[in-house]
Amino acid sequence: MERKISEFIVQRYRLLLVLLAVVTAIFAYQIPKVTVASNITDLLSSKHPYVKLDKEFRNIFGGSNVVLIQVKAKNGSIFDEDLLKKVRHITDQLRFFPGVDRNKVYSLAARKVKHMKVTSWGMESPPIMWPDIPHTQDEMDALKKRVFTDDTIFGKLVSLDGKAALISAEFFPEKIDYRVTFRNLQKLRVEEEDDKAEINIVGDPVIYGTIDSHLSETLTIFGLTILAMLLLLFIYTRSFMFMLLPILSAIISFCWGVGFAGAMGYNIDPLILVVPLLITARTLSHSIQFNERLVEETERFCDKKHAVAETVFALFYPGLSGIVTDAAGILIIAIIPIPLLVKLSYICFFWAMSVVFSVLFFNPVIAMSLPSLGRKATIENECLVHDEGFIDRILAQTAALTATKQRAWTVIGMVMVLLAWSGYLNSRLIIGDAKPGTPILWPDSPYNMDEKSINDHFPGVMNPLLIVMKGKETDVVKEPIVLKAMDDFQRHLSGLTDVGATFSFADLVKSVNMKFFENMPKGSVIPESKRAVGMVSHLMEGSGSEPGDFDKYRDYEYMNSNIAVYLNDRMGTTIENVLKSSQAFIDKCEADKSISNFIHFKLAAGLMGLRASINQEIAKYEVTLLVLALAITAVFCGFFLRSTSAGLVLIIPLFVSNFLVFGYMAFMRIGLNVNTLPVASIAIGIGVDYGIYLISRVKEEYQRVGNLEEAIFNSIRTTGKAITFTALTIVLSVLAWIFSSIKFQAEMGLLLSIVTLFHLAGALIFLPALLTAIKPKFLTNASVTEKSASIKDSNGLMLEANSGYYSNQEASS
Amino acid sequence: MRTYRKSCLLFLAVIVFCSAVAEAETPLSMSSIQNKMCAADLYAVDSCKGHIWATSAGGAVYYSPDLGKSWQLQETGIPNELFSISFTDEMNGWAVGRSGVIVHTADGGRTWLMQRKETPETHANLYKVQFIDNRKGWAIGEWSTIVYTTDGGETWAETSLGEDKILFSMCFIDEKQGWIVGELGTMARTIDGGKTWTKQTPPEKNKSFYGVFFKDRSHGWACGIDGIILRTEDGGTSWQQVPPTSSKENLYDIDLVGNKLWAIGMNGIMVTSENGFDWHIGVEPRLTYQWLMDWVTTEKGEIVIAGAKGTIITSKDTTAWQSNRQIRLCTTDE
Repeated sequence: MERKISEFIVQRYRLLLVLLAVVTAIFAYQIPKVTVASNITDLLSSKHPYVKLDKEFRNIFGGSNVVLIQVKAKNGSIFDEDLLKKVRHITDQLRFFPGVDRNKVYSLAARKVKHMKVTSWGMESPPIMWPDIPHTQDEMDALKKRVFTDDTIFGKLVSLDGKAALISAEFFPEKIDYRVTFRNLQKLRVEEEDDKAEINIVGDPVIYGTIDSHLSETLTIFGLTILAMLLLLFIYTRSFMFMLLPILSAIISFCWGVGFAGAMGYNIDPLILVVPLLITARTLSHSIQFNERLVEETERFCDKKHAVAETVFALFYPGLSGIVTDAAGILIIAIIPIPLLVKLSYICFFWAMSVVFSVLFFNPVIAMSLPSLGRKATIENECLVHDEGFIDRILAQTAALTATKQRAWTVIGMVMVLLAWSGYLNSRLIIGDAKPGTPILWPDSPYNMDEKSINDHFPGVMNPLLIVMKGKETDVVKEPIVLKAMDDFQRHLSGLTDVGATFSFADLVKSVNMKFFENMPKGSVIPESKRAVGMVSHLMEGSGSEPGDFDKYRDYEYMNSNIAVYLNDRMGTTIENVLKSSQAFIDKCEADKSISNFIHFKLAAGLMGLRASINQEIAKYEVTLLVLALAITAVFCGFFLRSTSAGLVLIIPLFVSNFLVFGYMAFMRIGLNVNTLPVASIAIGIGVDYGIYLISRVKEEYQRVGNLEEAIFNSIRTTGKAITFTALTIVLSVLAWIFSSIKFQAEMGLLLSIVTLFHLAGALIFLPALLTAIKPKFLTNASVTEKSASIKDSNGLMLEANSGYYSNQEASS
Repeated sequence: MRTYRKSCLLFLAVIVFCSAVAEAETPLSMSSIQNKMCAADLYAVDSCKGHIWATSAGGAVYYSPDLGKSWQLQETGIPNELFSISFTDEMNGWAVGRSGVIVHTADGGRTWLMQRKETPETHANLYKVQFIDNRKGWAIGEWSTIVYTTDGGETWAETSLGEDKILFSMCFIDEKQGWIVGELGTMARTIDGGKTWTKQTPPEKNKSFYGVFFKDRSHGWACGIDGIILRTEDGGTSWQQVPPTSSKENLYDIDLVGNKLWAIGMNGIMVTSENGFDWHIGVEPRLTYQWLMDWVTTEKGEIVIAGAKGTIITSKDTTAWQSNRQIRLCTTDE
């Protein structure tokens, strides 16, 4: 089979070259269609009940795509004509932003924001400030009192210290354009900020706008990273040809991967550009490995055609197996039904699979097309490997760690201790955000400063969780028992330390009822009968209010309502605590027939509900993903190495490394979220390469020296070095991300480096210890078929030539 | 081998160190209802020998052993709003509430027993309770309902002013003499421990009264809607209205501390008077804009005020005030 392929490639290389060029051109043509942008709907799993609930009620109760603008007085209070004018101006401007829901722009200056009062003539609810801003001191004092005594406004639209006012605007998720919105908001900020007022703006649209505004920087770092990789590779190989060919391979793969995204109409989230970067790194190493083998074969045959055919014969099958294993690992990310991850998974799967063409086909074809590969690269003499010293000593020490069975068991024991410790840490791994503020940006970024300022003045307002109350028939919201259940629910919730405040239709009914009780607080209760509630709500809505004024609280049929819960922060644990406690209360209500005959409480909509849905999906699939990734790796490796135990032995260090990575994340308080999850699982692909390099080499060495301990010792000192250099290449180039203005990318860079190092340690310390300790049969099995021999020597992947050099050198010395 | 052992030790040391660091980090916040004052509306507060109890909706009683610094939830096990509470010592207390329920504790609030249930005949809300000792107490409420007991609540006798008026507040100065006030100018006095009542006539007949306080059998004050304050020097036979303050906000409770009278009410208003006739704003700027419902003075002269959304205001001697909802409003432009 491999023979046929290699002959086909060598004979039809011109045709293949044209075909490759055409296909690549077609994909390249699709690239301009790709948008690099973030989109909040990408994060929402369409299957999750919270997302469905939010979708169902978003149009009535308001949803999650909210921008909050704070106008903060630099001196004195917000009750100042100039400052209130700013509030009014911003409110008016927001109403004309593209994609905004004009009925859901709230502020002191909005016409919809009312102040209810009882007068001798009955009930009135005039707008609290609209249309005119107070001019005289008396008018201003009257406004202050209206504000301070109105729970729907004080603490929500005017801060508890009277220093700041808030304007909130909701956008239609399908209509908002983040870039335009962000630009408009920035313009508004510049216009309105002066020596009297500070403007703070927060909201997911602003976060995405901020990320978008850093796009050129992100792409620069992306480019720099690639350059750094190439530079390292050039230093390593000292050959322009060897630098150029991998670039070409990488570019072809890039065209295929990104072109695929364009053809499918996918957008690429700038936050996870790190993942394609990893694939690029692997493309480079596959390409380099091919070239080095080609050089070797050219030496041997002194005939281009023959050498190329021989290289393809040797490398096609193992190369394919490595690529397919990696790609399969990437594809399983798609089991998490979050569109962002599904898209990422498909794009990167295709991208990874394209390496079959960009390396396994392209490299031989280009080798055939070029006059000659040039002089033989002087890898042996000039590469960095040459400096005998530090790294060699370290590797020798490393090898010594697992040299005897007793030591090997000690190492395994230590790893167990580490495992137990990180198991303990894992129990504290936070799903979702681990710190207040957005973890995507640095704590001192303008956005997080804005968020902090708004959270100081309006605790919880940024973190609304909606508990939806679904009625079984119309008018159930007027049932006293239903309103009492809502009231009880709120009291239950407000006892939680994570909850800042709650608000619902029941509060409105109580406050209106109290107003009819001559403002005596002991009348601030849910009325006794449905008729009385009906009267209260009729008066409330019939007295100068307009359609839409009470939309936030109930629907027109009085069938559905909600409880807005304002959380103190948006950390994963906070949301989960509140949801858990809410569920306990809901269970109690469900058991009580007198309540559940009318209504069901449903978790959870609003911004925090959606966030919880993302966190829960991740928590649900975290383990599945890891297990599946390991299982697929084991199956593929077992299949390609023709040994089940080989597959099993390979995945043990992978599992340990991944487990330790989660421990590290818990220790560093990095939350496991939609952005960090794929990195952790894709890193398995890196680890498996290292494991395969080592095992192949050990097998080879064993056949040479006939002693397992010695074989392992030699392998660590030779292939170990190559693995170390590959790992360091990834680490050094990924580290460039540390300088990103986006904290998430910096953290990812660091995390990837750590993951790579853990896998390196897994391959060089733990795997050898395992091999020494259990002496698996597949290593010591002497009967080596021709096929597994070829797998063995080529699965050493990228730096086989080097290891060959070492074994030669050792043999000669 | 030696270096090998060393590195083993080093490894273990690193593990221990890292564990210690991980352990030293602040524990994650735990939700707990026990340690937090619920943000529910507080309708009433009472004290006895340094212990404070406040009542709220959902049958909740909150207990504070340290003058409002920390609170514990005491569940009475009933769903009704509890509108008033009265303790006679640190063990015995009664709370009354919606639909006429009365609950009693004999162990400082750890356990509560229902003394009066809601029935079709007796479901008028009770808004105020006062016990003068462990046996004698009164409760009043809707439909001018008056219930009283002489056996610590084992049995309750019921009477009424005979009209559809809400009674909001009462003040007994001993086991015989007491006054009640209520909706739409309702005022009455008893001199036989509540068996018979004599109606009194305020100068403003249509104003509702929410609070009443008597210093002795002659001198008393009543407060109510729109900031109205009345005073009497003849046990209520004649009431005079005092000059109104600048605030027209409802006043819900009135009490004497030292030689100063205080009244509290709507929107966090607190007014005070030295002579009982000239009243002025007592605390400015306001400590809160939540309504303040009930005022209790402890044996040592400390004050605890309960109000909306879990508001608790305390003071040692009415000169300095603390509020758990301390809101520093920028009412003056700095």
